[in-house]
Amino acid sequence: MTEVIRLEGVSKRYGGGGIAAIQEISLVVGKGEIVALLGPSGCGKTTTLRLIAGFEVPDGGSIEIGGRIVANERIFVPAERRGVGMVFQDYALFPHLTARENVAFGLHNWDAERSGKRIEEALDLVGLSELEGRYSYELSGGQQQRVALARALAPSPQVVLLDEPFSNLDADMRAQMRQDVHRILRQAGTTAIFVTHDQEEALMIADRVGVLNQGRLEQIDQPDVIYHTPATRFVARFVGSADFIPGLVQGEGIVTELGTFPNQQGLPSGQAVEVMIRPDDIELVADLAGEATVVTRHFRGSDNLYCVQLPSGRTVHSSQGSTRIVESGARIAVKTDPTHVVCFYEDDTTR
Amino acid sequence: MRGGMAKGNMERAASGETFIFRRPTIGVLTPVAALGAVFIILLTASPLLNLFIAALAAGSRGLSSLLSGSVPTLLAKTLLLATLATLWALLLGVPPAWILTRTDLPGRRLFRVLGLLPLAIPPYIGALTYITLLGPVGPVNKAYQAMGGSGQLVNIYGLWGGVLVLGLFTYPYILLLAGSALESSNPAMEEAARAAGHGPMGIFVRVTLPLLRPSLLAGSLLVFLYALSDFAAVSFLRVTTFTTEIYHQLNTRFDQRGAAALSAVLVLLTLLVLVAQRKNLGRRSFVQRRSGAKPPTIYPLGHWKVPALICTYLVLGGSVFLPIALLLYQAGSAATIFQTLASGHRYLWNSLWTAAVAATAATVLALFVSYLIDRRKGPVGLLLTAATQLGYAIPGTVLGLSLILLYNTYVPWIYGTAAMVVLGYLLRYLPQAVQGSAAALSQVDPNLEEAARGLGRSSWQALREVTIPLIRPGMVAGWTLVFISSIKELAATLLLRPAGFDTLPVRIWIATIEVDFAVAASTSLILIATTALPLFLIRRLDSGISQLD
Amino acid sequence: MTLFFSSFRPTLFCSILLIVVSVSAVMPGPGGPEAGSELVIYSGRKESAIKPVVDLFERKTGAKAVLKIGKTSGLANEILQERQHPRADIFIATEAGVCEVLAREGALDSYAPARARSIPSEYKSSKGFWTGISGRARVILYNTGLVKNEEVPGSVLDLADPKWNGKIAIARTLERTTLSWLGALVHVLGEAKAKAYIDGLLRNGLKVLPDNSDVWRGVGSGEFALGLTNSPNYHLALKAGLPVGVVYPDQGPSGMGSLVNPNAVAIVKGARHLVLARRFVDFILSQEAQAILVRQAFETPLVSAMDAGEVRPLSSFKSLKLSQERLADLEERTIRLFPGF
Repeated sequence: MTEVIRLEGVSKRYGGGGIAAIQEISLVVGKGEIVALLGPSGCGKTTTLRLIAGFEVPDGGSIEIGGRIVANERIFVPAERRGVGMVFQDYALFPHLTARENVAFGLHNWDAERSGKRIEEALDLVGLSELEGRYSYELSGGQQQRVALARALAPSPQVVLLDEPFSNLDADMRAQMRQDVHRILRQAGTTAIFVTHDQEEALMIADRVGVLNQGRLEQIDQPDVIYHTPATRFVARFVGSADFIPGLVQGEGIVTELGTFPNQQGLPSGQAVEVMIRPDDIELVADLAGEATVVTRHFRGSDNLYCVQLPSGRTVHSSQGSTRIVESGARIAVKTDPTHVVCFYEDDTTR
Repeated sequence: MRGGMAKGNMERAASGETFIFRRPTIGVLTPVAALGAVFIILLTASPLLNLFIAALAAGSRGLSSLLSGSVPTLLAKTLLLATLATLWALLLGVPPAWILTRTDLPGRRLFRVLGLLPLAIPPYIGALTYITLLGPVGPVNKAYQAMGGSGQLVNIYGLWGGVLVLGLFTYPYILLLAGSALESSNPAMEEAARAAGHGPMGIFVRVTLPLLRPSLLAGSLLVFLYALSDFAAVSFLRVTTFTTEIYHQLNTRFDQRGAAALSAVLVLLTLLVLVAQRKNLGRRSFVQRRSGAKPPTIYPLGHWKVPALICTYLVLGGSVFLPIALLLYQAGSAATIFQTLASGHRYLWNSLWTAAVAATAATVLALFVSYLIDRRKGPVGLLLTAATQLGYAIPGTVLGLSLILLYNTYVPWIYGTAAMVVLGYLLRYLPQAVQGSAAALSQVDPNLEEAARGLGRSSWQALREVTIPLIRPGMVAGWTLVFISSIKELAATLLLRPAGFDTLPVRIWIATIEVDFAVAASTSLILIATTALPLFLIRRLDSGISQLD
Repeated sequence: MTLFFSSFRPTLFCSILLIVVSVSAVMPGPGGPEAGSELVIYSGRKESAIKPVVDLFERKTGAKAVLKIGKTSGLANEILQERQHPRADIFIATEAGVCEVLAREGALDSYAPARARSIPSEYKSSKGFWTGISGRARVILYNTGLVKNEEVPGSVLDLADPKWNGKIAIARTLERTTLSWLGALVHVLGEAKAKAYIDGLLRNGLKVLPDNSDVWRGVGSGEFALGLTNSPNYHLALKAGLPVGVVYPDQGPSGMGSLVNPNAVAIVKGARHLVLARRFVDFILSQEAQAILVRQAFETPLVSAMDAGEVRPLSSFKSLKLSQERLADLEERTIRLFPGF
């Protein structure tokens, strides 16, 4: 796999060396790969994107694009010479230009014939050929989004950076655009990095997801790996939801209130741990003699999320199909059968 | 091993198009920007610095003149004049602003253009008009005496005359700003008030007026600062203010230091006002107007049509029709005007090109300044803001003298050319251009520039291809304001013009001392027509100027 | 122009600006002082009075001259500011006291033209820094519709009479002729008496106006009955068709006489065209120039043997003999004595 982006130990501080926005981030993105940077607001994901784009100067580390150093302690290649495309959160379409002129903006150095063809291609790709004469205020949010994408893709950049691309869209449009953007990026074969705070979005579109927390890259891996075997408690909580229940390692098993789980990681006996339990790992079994009690039920459309109180008083969550209704207060039994058992040391925040 | 890696990487980078080192920066600025900032601060602050040094050199004499009993009284008088003139301008500007934007008054478009005309009439010409009409032997007092009245019915001289005239010829600032704000305000708020059972009057008082506050404040500021700095009109009207006192110090006592000390007080006063304004603006959130937003409600006037028309005609009558009618009468005939134009066409040309060059230079500098202020936070922006606002504060005469000393000493090859006149205009009216482009720029999303850079444009290209087209209305408005202010300028021009180089206002002044009313009036009419030209031609002035708040 | 703005192009604009500015900066403006051989004249005298003289000078000598018309005091301030690189060659002042101020600041060059010999000593600088070119007598102007000639007081000292309450106007000291007049009062009466006299006038409603044209127009229009002003203003008012008369005050045997304020011409120190400047000074004192100056502006000739025309010649009234040097000495005290005048 040819690498397109390489970040090595990149740091950025704001306010004259004060607050660290990102610390020692290292990251490699391969050609044609779609990587999501996921994290809560203020985690440094947008800063990372802006560092790659060339809108910010790093305080440490180096950034390579297409095998060429664009920033280290001595070199800084300005944004306009990095060959990256960027899609902004608010699209940043030039209001004084039509959709077509916006797309053409990045092709100023191309000869007329080639650029004309390229504009058609780009507009076709996003399916906006018939709206090319419109100004941004005459376009809907989704259409603006497509123009922004076409504009970023038109000069065939080595990488396209998308900053919270779907946050300004309403729910149904968002779902549609996710699919469309994913299809368009794939079709164009473009390498892309996008930033989002929406885990669902990240898991759905990205080949790999990087989770950032307080300026650090906590984990970067394929979506299912991130989901099933989070590296840190933060990742566990932020990607999907999770409960943690205490357990004790005894040989091949980890003994918890919910039963004994296989010691897949080969932890030493006698070690006190917390085991991560996802809501979809918990089965509720109707059992009048059951020791657990349903506390609340939240209907979420496709499923019901139950909060269940265990005999110890600890609560865990369980998601069940939307047609299966257990009234709150009902006594039930709880069954767990996780495929991946993820444990964290009790007193440690990492593992 | 590590070293080898780094070297390899560098070679790879070098094998690309260009090898680029990290650019050095000074604080948050690139060297070019820093140099530009230093240049502008030097340009704008040097006359003031010169002034303060002179004031300090005044030592005991300057201090004694400052601390003498007359300064507090003078301060009180000047502030009173400026405050009353501002209130009067508000009274004159707000009702027409509402009538012309929110009612179905017939001919309101034409009225809105006419309403700008007082900006084209220099207040000193307005002052002369009202002295002729309301002076002790003017037709009004004469008629009163003929009807058996004793003494004077009205006395134009003094504080109230000053208030009357200054307000009459500055209210368009308020009309413009309030008018644009009214046009762009969100009708939903008024609809909410209507739903709550308020009539048009109630809505105006309870909703519209409070929402107008920012634009009214901005307009008031322009009027207030103008009133502080005006010299010619107040001296004709025999009002004693800081500027007339400074003139007195200079021209009776040849006490340039005393004048400098007094000017320093005026500068501090102005800076105080500007700081207060900034504080006020700082808490405000601006509303970005979107195209296609619902236009505001237009109220049918019904039987209020006649009073609304009368109100509009009264304001326009006092500030436009009356002075122009009087000037036409004094000029006598069209022949006089043409003759004046024919014999004085080079004064017209002098006025035109100096004002145009000053306006253009101010617009370019203002773009740079507002860009630095808006896009690069920090002390440089603040310093630049302060430096470029100084022009408001220094009276024309003092600025003129200060520039003479400075430029004749250090760059004598500029001094004695018409470039000095341009420089005088530039320094006096740069604030107007800065406000114009700064307000426009603050509405442009910085992401747009980054988007352009991501698409292969340098910062300079991004500025040229994206930012400037977007803020053009604000820049054009700023240009127009600087142009019309410059072309009317008299006090600094008198000092800075090279021998043999007269502008239209200088010719009016000379004709006035010659007591040649016909020529004075014809020249005034030519000046007003010239000044009014861009007001009529630039259709988007309204929307541009509205960004000044 | 609309088109021009709608196609507003910053680059184009900037380049035009640059060109215009550099052209105007490098090339001397029309008749700028850089233009080598032109004589630069700063004149506080009105354009209508001085322009014909300058035109005649140009015709007679073939030299070129450029004029900057301004207020005498404003131009004096400019000359002071310009000392390091003087721009003006000639300064024409409506009041010699200003020349005396400039002379003391070392801003003037001395020259004693031959024709100035017949000018009485109080109307020229003893060191030759300036020369009087004509004079204006301090007079009482009255409105003939409101006052008869015989009612007009023969002495300025009688103006405190309650009869004139609120009916007299004078220009403030921004008009240097008023300042000189006050200085003369201090010289003649002494500080205490002068102060008492002026305070008496102020108590009697003396109206202090911005300048002399306000005074003569005010008297001519009947706003005031009497005005303390300068002799040419009487003729100006007459010319404007206003009902005015004039009285030269304090002519009696013990009277102090009427103060005559000279207009003056001076050569600026460091003048670039010294030879031409001297020729101009000679010329302005010549018969033909004097004829224009006096006729146009109703001034009193100072050079003997000049025909005064309709103006009263210097020899026909009693004038106050007081040197400008003495007046300049008194100036600071005078200003302090009458604050806010």
